Amino acid sequence: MYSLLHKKENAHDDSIWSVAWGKVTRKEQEKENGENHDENSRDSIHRDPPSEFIVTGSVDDLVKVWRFHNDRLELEHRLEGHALGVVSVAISSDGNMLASTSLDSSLRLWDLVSGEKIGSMDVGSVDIWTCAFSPDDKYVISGNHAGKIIMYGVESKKQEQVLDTRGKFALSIAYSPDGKYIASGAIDGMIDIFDVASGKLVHALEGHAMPIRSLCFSPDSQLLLTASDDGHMKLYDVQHANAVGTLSGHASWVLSVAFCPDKNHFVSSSSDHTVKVWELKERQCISTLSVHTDQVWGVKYNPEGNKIVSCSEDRSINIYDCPT
Amino acid sequence: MSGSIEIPLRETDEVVELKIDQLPEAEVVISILCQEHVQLQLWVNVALEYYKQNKFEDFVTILERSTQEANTEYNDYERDQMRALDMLAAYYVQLANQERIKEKRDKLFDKANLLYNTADKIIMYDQNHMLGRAYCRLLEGDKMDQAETQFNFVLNQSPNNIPSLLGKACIAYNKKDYRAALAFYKKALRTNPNCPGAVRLGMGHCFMKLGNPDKARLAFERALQLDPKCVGALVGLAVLKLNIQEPDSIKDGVQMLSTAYRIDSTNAMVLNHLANHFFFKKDYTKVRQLALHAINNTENEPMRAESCYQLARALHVQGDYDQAFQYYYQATQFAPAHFVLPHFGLGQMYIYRGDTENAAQCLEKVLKIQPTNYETMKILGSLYANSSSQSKRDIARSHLRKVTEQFPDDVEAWIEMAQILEQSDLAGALQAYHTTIRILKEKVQVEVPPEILNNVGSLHYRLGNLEESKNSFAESLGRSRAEAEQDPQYYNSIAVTTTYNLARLHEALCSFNQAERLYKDILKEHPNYIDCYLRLGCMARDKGQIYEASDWFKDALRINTEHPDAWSLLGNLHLAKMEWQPGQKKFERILNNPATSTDTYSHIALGNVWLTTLHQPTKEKEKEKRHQERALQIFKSVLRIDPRNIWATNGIGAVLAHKGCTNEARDIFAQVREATADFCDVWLNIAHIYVEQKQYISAIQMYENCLRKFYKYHNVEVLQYLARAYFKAGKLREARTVLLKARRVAPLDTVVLYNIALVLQRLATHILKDEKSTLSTVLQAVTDLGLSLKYFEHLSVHGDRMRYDVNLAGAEARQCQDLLSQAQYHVARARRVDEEEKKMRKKQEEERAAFRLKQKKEMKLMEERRRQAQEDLLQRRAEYKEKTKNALTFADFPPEMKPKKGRGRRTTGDGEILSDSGSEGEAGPSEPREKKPKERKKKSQSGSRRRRKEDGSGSDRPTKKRSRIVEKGARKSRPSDEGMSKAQKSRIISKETISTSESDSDSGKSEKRKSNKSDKSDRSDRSDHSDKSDKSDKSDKSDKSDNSDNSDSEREKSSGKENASGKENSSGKDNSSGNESD
Repeated sequence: MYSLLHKKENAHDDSIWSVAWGKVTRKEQEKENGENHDENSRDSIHRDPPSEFIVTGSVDDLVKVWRFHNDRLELEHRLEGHALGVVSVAISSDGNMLASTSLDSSLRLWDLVSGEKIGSMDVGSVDIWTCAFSPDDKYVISGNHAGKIIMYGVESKKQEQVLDTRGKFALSIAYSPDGKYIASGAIDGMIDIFDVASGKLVHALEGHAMPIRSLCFSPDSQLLLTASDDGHMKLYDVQHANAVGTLSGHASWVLSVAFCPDKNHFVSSSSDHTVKVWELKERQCISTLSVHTDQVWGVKYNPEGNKIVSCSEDRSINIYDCPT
Repeated sequence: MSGSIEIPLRETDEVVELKIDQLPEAEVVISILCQEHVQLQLWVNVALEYYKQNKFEDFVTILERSTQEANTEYNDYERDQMRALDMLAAYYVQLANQERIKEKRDKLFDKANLLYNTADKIIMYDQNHMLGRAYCRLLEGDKMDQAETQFNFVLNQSPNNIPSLLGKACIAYNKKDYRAALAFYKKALRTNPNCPGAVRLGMGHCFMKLGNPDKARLAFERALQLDPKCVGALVGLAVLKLNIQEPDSIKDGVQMLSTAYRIDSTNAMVLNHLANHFFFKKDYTKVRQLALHAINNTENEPMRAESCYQLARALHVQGDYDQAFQYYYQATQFAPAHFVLPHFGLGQMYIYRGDTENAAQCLEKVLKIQPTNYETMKILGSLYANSSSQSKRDIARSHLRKVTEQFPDDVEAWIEMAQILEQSDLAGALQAYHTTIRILKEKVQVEVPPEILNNVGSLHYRLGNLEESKNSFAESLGRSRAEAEQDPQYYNSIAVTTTYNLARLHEALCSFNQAERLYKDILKEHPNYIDCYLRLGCMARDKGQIYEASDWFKDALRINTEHPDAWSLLGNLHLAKMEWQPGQKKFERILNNPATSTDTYSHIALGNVWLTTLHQPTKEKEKEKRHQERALQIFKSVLRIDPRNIWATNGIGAVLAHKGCTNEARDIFAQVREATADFCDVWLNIAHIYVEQKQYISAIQMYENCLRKFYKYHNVEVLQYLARAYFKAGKLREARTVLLKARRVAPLDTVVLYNIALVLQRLATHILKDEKSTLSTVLQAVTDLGLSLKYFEHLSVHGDRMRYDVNLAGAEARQCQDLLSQAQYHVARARRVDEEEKKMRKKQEEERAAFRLKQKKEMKLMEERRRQAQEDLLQRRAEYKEKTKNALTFADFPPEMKPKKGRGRRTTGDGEILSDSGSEGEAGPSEPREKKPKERKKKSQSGSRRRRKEDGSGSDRPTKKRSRIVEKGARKSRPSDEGMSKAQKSRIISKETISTSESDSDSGKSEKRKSNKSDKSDRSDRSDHSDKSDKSDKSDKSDKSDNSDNSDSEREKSSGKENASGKENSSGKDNSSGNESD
């Protein structure tokens, strides 16, 4: 049974808009330790088991980094600097870096462990929305107002490449885990898939007729899952751009979707206050979690795929246990 | 008898002897009588002889001739005259009584009456004459009272006159005074113990009526002994036997009836009872023969009524409903008031004919006589259940409730009950169905029919128990499939209905895929199932697939070109895309169709179209007024059709608001809100009115409740209203948060962006002007200003020209720039203040440190002193000890006191120090802390006061003027967001807020700004009410279709039910057998 493991109430002062779950891998830690040889923090980090972090962003302009430890959340960092609400947060695949975007069109990069700001990019007034890391952590991508997808170099802190969907506002964005594709979902329900190597738009799908607020690739990069305001989710075969399934069950907008690393499940959250866990093979909802009392803005799996975190308009963060 | 009559011959002493057993032809006798000029008396005697020998015709001829030819020249001839007349009259009466044909009968009575009248003239008060007359009147039927007076007259003269007694008894019996009748019979019997069996028979009937079957039986038996051919007694006994209701006794009874039949094959009573018997033997042809025979053999109306009834009943069972109807109808015409069975039958026939009105009337008659008859209540209940009148339906409900109370196991009644409750009390209906199912399972032990399961499912659906609903539907489908082997057509149709309901349920569960699959499955087999097309269309519409939706609706229209729901849905699609013209056409089409010309939904949709045009800015005041009137007219006409239509009412409120009648509009909205809480638009409208009336707190609450109640997601439009209310209430921070939330879901909405920029600018201005703002907030304000500038600059280029004047954005951007340039001053000031404060704090810190140092010193000093004192004391004590060493006993006292004193002093000293340091330490930091908020409060107060003042004062700056124009425009027409002219565009500007900010600027530097956005929402708001009212209406529609569907299946069932109930009703066996035999 899927069950609530922990509920952090009033995690922020206002609704929580985004969440990410990351794990600082040992290798990186050691590397980092090697670099910062002289720092006092070294010992403490070194002794810790791999630390798991949950990052949340809220309308209250704060990004909070929580350490997930003994099934509890402890506030690790309180990152200030954003204005007008944090729209999205993303953790790099090595778990060291954190990217956050806010409505004031700023993108910020943070060191997840130390909580220090690594860099910030203030771009055109409306040129940033949700962000994602490339699998090699060299780029952060985000869609903009004009339907362009901009790749920001993590090192250079500059725009390095622009992919044009020639469509409308790219609300949601995802980088395939194999690094080949970038997919974006537009406010008018269009889905665009780019081949990264060539920088060409390979598929433009009329998936939905309403905004796509979230999309994600399956861990094997074969499938793309989209979530829309029409209450439906759709599964596409990335290579051939076939719709292989439509899933319904939410009573309102689907705000967020995430694939489970086990490749067999995925999770969705909706304005109907629920989180639903789905089975890929049968395309059926196997569990509905109704713990939140307001819209659930974000939902993510942990890297092991045995826990789910969700954040909501009701200002709480919930962590659920997945049956194995 | 004497054996012969002697006729004296004229003028001789000879006689002609007439042998009685050899009576000659009447003519012969008459000629003799005439020739011999015989006295009347003899004529009469001769006639009587003929009568006794059943030679009635001769009897009549003789008597008739006697009046003319007989010798009346003797004393006392009058008596004989009387006898002749009375005798003849009595004979006619007797004939009349036997005559079945009314006309002949009347003729006979006329003859009799004529004779009696002649007799009256001779001797009025002759007893026998009186009696004859009385009987005549009695038998004539409707002159019972006159008969009674005559009987009374006779009885007065001779109290024991048996014929009078019997006559009285008969009258009493017919007047239903059985006790009195019995008394008369008994009196007659006492007077003449040997009186004929008829008296016993009468008594028997009386006993029967008085509920004493034993005595009745005795009486009948006695009557039978006296007269073995007494049909009445036979019938009476037979009825008694039949009523015992045991096979043996029934057999006896039937035997008696057949005996009676043998005796008198034309006795209608016997025939009726036999018919009744054969009815239960199911030998219907015999029933018909007997009943028909009975009808032809009686003129007695109750009797005929029963015969007709028997006949009709047989025809009814045999399925010849037309004939049955006719005979039932005849029966009701003849039947006395208490004989209601024919009405019941007729009611059933009316139901068969589909004439529920008359059926109900018939059944009401039954129920009037037998108020607790549950069959009748049941049928009546089901008739009224389908009535369109609420009061009838209430009657139906009360009937059915009584039925179910009386017969808690009556499945049919429970089903009826459930169906009628479906209209008003869903939970009660469900309960009733559950009872039905329980009875069916436990008592009747049959499988629950799929129709009931389907209805249970749909009730659960309507109650929101979706899971249970699903189970019921699934079970119903299973049953339908099982039953389909027997009657594929019927059960497949039920299965289709259930499948449709299941699909609706899946929709409610948001399993749209399954719903879609089910609908399409249905359409594969039943391509004419319009509702499926409509639902598929609605689902597509909700997904935003407008064209797909339109295709589905058009598919529906291919099947039924006039389907109003399909046209409405299509119209709504157009309206949603703001294609007014085509949308309008669709609704007009519905209204042009005579069958749907009163469709309130379409009326309201049209009204809303006019209302929406009001939101579009026009320069033509006339046109605007015309449109207002049009909308108003349409809404009014809807109210004429349906006086409780909340959407029309809401529309009227909206028009009034447009006209500026805020108070009236508010009252109307309040009424609508009272009628239902599930109507989002009226909440919004009330909130808008609150804003209009500057009751911002109420407005904010209203908007927030509305969001919470009606929208799961962030509805940008309502969020905008909310932000506007916050803005107007001066709660800029809240406004900012709300706008951010709106922007989060609608990032492309430039109006939201504009508003955010504006709020940021406003907030920053406030902060900058506030001299007490701390450095960090000032810096934050400056960044916010920067953002605002960035947004305005962006908007001035990329803004949505359709929704506001992008030039205004440019102006705002310039203003931001101005502010930013001034900001440096504020920043510097803030920094200065900050530094001062820091300095102050530092100074305070230093002072505090110095103080602490001082304190420490003092403490040390004190300590020192204390220590010294102690040492001193010890020393002294030692000295003392030394001194008193020798005087131990004497000086024990003082030393004890001294340490006490010393200890006391020490403690107080300690306390002083502590309290000192404590109070000072606390007072230091706490004081300034308290002061600060106080100051702040004061400022905010003054600020608000200022603002309020300036609200009223108009200044003559150019910007102000502009804003005023705006105000006017805004109030008059709340335009929607597109295509506004320049003049109107300026209207967008919010009014009060502008003046406040300007007034603020009076005190400060010259800051001008106009708020543009906030009233944008104002405009859009009204327009969208109407839209929304459509929507809610629409959902209502779809609900309706659902209901209709459910009711469809119910209808099917109920028709089946009527057939069942049309079958048979219990018929009483103890039907009254009229007192005819008397």
